Amino acid sequence: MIILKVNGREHVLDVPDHKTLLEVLRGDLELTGVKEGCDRGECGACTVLIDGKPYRSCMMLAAEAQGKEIVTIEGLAKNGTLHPVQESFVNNQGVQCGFCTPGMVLTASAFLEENPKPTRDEAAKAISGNICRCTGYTKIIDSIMDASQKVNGGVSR
Amino acid sequence: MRLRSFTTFQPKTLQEALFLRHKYKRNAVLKAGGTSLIPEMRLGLKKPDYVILLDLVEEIRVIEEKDDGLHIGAMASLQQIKKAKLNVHQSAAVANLYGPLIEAIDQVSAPSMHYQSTIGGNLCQDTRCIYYDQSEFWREIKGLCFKQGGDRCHAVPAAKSCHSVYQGDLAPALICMDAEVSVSSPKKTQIVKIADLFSGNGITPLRLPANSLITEIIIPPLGTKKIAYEKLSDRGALDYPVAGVAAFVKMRDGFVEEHGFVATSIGPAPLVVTAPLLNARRFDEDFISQAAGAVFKKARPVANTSAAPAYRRQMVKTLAEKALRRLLP
Repeated sequence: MIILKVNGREHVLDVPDHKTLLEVLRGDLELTGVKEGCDRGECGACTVLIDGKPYRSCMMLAAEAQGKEIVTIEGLAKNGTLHPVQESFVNNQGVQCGFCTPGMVLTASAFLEENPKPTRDEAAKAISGNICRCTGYTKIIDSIMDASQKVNGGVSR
Repeated sequence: MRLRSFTTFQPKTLQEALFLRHKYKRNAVLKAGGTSLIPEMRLGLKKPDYVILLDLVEEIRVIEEKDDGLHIGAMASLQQIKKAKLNVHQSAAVANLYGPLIEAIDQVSAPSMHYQSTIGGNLCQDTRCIYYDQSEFWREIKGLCFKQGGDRCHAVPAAKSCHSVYQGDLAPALICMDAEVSVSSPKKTQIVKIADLFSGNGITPLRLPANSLITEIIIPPLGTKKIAYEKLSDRGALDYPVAGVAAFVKMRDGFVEEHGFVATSIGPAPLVVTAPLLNARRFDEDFISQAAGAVFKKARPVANTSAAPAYRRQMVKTLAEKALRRLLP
């Protein structure tokens, strides 16, 4: 038995030892916003926040996420209001096919917590571990820069 | 691809982890960040019955600055090391150590992976090969190679041993820094130079007893030594090196007193190249080209990565020159 706290709710789960966090989130908890891309840590689509930091859920066993705050894309909006990064992705066409978007948004939101006023280069480096096969990086970086302005009250470098 | 079934243990203390390590030996694998282990398990390259998860062993996650240098717990994440640089340091001699280490860390994978990846895990990563890091189906058709318990090497058909390649980005800089690791087993703890940790044998690249684990990395003060790491890879992020070279130089009275290189992604172990200087040498372009030539001479990559051996060998020289040039006073 393991207990996982996902998006603020505790779940008691009976899962085998070898199940990854990704499999439990998608399969057992039906949080399909967590995407399974490469399954080997190369694409970032399965990124979730663990205690506010980006982690690849495909390379973590579910047991390792016990006692931590897990946030998936489903839990980022609060009370029906989008997170500033989500809003910026919508407003700046940061989404094409959408498959990389949950990982991009979560990675970007954690990045802006650490570095609220990034340069474009810093933003590009921050998401260099997330692959967008539509290659829509320019709009994704636009979205992150726009979000950084929003969280800083319109001030940006 | 699903993972094969196994049983996990989640020890909370080092003692408990060592007990499990001792009990299950080669039937168990240690999981640190898992960023290379999990893909290897998915490919069936490792089929452990037991997986010992080290994430709760807090005592091997600590970063401490001591008189004899920087002590980094093996389970410290790369991000944790980057953050520790910003702390108030015990002494300037220890504060100096972060620069070259973080330069190498910045070359590992991508920043978003640094939360998960650990320094101990990075150091202990297995060797790789284009004929080895493949699906089980693919490997079976090709025929088992030495590293899989077979009788041949696909990369070098005439070879009598495994030619897989060590591709870690941190070992070169750490070896240049004269770093050591503390290796614990249930009965004793040993300090081993990182340069001596690698066996040069592609099948078992690390000289680590089956009941032991690395608990910390110890980096002594650099003194006047300067270090730079240069990496070439196909992609700008999320990639292993095509070749990587760390260079170090020690100057005295304006002349080169000591220098050397450690290359990665060339053979089953990091390649250490030092050439004692007979005379004091001026640190100039002539010296750089001659010194880098020594790495070119010793580097013998084989056809086991996406890049051709001749290209990698040439690039080792170029990277050695680039790294040295950055150290020019």
